[in-house]
Amino acid sequence: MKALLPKCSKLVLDSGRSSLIALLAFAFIESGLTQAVEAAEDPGTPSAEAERFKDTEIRVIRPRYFNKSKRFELGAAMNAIMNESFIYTFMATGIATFHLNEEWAIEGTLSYGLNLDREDKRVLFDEFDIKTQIFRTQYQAELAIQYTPIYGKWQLPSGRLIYFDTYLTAGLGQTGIEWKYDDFCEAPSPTDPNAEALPTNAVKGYPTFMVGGGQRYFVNRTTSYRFEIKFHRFLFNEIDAECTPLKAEATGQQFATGTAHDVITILLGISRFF
Amino acid sequence: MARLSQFAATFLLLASALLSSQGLFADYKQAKALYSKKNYPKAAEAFFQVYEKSPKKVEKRKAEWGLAQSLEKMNLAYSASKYYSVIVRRGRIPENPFFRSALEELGKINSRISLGQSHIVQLFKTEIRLADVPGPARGFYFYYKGVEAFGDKSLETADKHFEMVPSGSPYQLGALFHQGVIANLQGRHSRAIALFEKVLAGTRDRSEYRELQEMSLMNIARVNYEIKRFAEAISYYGQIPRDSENWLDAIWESSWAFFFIEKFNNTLGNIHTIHSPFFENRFYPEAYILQAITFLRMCRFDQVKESMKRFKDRYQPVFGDVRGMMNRYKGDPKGFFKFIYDYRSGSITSYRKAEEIVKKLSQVDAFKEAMDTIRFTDRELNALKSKGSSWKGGALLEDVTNFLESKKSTAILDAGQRVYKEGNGYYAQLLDLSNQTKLIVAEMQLGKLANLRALISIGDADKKAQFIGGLQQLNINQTLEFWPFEGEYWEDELGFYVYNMPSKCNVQKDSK
Repeated sequence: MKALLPKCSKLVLDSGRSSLIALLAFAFIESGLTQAVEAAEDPGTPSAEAERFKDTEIRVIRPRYFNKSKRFELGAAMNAIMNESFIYTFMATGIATFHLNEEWAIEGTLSYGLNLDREDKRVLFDEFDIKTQIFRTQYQAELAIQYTPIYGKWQLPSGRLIYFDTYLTAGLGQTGIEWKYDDFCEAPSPTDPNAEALPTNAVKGYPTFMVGGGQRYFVNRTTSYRFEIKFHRFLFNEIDAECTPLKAEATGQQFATGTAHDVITILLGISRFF
Repeated sequence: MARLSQFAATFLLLASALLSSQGLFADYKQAKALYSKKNYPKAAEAFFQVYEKSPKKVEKRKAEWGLAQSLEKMNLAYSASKYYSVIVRRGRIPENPFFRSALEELGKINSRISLGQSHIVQLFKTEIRLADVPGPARGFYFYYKGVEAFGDKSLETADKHFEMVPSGSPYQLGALFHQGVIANLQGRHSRAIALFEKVLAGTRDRSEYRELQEMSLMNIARVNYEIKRFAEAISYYGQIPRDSENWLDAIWESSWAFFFIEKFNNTLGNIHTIHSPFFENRFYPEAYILQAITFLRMCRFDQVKESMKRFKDRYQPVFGDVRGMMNRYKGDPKGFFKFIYDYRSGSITSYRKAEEIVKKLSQVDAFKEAMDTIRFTDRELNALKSKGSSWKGGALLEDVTNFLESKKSTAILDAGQRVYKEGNGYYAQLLDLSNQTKLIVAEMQLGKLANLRALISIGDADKKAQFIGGLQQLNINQTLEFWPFEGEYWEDELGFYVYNMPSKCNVQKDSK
């Protein structure tokens, strides 16, 4: 098989920066210095891009294959949560992005999905009588800023070229968790008159912070496939996970209102540029 | 008694003559009947019998026409062209009633499969009055009369003939193209461009005319180059599609245009494409010379020497093989043709170092035309094995086969001669370029750099235009992408290279 080597014209990733936030901040600052190469620049005169290639004796200069600047991107995708041990969560996702320029974009995503219990959950309950606390993600709504530091291409063994870009994203939003108390709470004893009834199953929304990264593969000048991995942290109210909240409150037990729970999602989708 | 026997003998003779005549008449009728029943192989055989044996001229002529028509219906167009050509060569005379129709049929066949220029030129050696050329055959007739005159360098006559090609004829675009060439040769550049533009408009979105369209683009570029409108020339070269056989020629020719508008980095970028491993067997020896003089213009003398060295390294081994090859096939055009044919089929065993010239020769028009003729004749010869197997006696089969074999043989001979001549030209070009490299090196060694640079001085061409890679002018609304070349050639990057190398001339002046 032929080696598939990417070539990147805009490699600004600094391997020394481990934090994505720091990387985004760095990228933001850097973008103020290096704008997308506008054709108004004379390829023979110094410019930010020319400066980047000042030591390159021979270079290819041509119109960019895929322009995103000032274009809308609408997409559909399938999102899956990867780190919930006892359920599968699949969410249908709609994506709407506006690309401010080739590097920066604002993106809104809305995911809504279903949760399926895994076999492990059933085995634990049936064989060991263990009930598991589960965060059933019902929806995610996020608004993010996206930065694209890498634009590259791959050559397939057939000789066909696939252009791609790699982006980083960070944003805020809300995650809706469906609480199903019979998942993990013991039903109150019917013989105990003081027993507190289980809370009613409900979907509750929590503020969410998200970071991630992904790639678009441009199949033509209007369509791309997307692949991304995101890390979401939402802050939930501990009392929402309590089986007997009234009793707990009465005993003076303290409940944190911002306990973090992390979710990792993987997304595969297709989007179209307008 | 003797009288009686004499009378009886005379009667018998008459009767037999009558019978035989009725038999022949019956054969023609039978042939016609077979043709009407669409039994074309049998009809062809029957017509051939009449054509060969009938003593009646009128019937013979009819059988000749019927034979050609039957063969054409059998999809043996080349074979049919033999009999149509016999009719046409006889000229417009009263006892040749099918002259006009045969001419028309030949025109139709030739627009589908090329009959070959030499065949057609022979055909029109016969003097034909304008009135005798039927409307639908006028394009065919005047186009080839024009081509013949053009070959004889009678430009005005050729132009008149091409002018007579009616609009709507399949030959019209070819005629306009030739008129464009003539106009340019006559120094009427604007008219030449206008004519090539007409061809472009006529060939747009018609894949069957792709070659003509590309040649028109190349010619518009060349005319612009000739009148020193280099930026326009480059924009036309830039319209040649990447998958075209003409694309590398466009890259090469535009390198010169860039040179004359002092876009040396674009010149060097184009040469970088030509010298890429993708084109290592392509014959562009002059690219090294242009590279050297471009470096010379940039006062990069070490790189001039390097270019000259690379020319020498690459072409010195080629000289011996080319010389050997040309000597070996001197006076043997058929052998030379076969040698190139073998190269195309991948079975070349000798003169391997001459490969890039052999490759170039395998792409010249004369060779390609002959290859078409061989392909069509072979196809018919194969078809005849099955279609002609029912022909009794084999006389028709032999007649047609002989014609096809002879046509093939003539095409090979003619192409062999023309290609050999072309090969000699390339060899002379190599020699000339070799001398040029020696001159450049010698002048450099003598320190006559100013003289040398003056020899290649550039005029007051428009130097304002800015170009990116791919022969494209800078467009202010475009976003560009940059890829560094790091020793690895990517196929999609070919043609887009631009050097990033400043001239050293100012530095040298300053240091003095």
